[in-house]
Amino acid sequence: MNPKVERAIYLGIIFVLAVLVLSFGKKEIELQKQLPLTAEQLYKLMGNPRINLQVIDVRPYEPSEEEEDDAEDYDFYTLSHIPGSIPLPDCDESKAPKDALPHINYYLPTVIVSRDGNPEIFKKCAKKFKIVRNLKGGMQAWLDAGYPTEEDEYQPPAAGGGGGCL
Amino acid sequence: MSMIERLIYWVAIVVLVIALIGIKGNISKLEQQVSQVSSTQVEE
Repeated sequence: MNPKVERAIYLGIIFVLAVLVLSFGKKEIELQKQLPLTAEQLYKLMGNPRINLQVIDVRPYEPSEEEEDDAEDYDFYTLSHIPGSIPLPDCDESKAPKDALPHINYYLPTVIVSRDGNPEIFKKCAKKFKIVRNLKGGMQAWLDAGYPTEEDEYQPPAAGGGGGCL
Repeated sequence: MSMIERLIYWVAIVVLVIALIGIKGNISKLEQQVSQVSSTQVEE
């Protein structure tokens, strides 16, 4: 067989297979989006230092002026949040604290934490993040399971820090 | 075309086929899980 023709056949096969791998990969990501993550699964993933994962908290960051007096009755980031989670209220960059914005990576595998796993806010976030899953039951499920939480304002990670956050 | 070039093409093809089989397996697992989740949501 003519070497040029043989080379073209091999390259054609490789091209077709590569296109199939890419399209199946996309389909896999789309299916993962539809599967919510349980609090237990998230806890295990966060404890694995080999898995690079970001947790985005879409609840309000802090109580409004009217809510401040009885702030304990409301649910917001500074009251309690998953350790290492990044605040992005309503999935809206304009509502996020300035320190948090540079740490949001839209291409990293992401878990969205809302108050109760609201699918509407998740859909809004799913448009922004490439690989994203919802936390089933939201922050309430995390608290019910008794997993660790942090309070107070968002602290950006120290430069050079690494490893699991739990 | 040399044997080495041919071998490289075959290695690439085999790697892609293995990746394809792996992803296909993952997809069918995920499809099952999604259908389970959607059926439990309907029951609720």
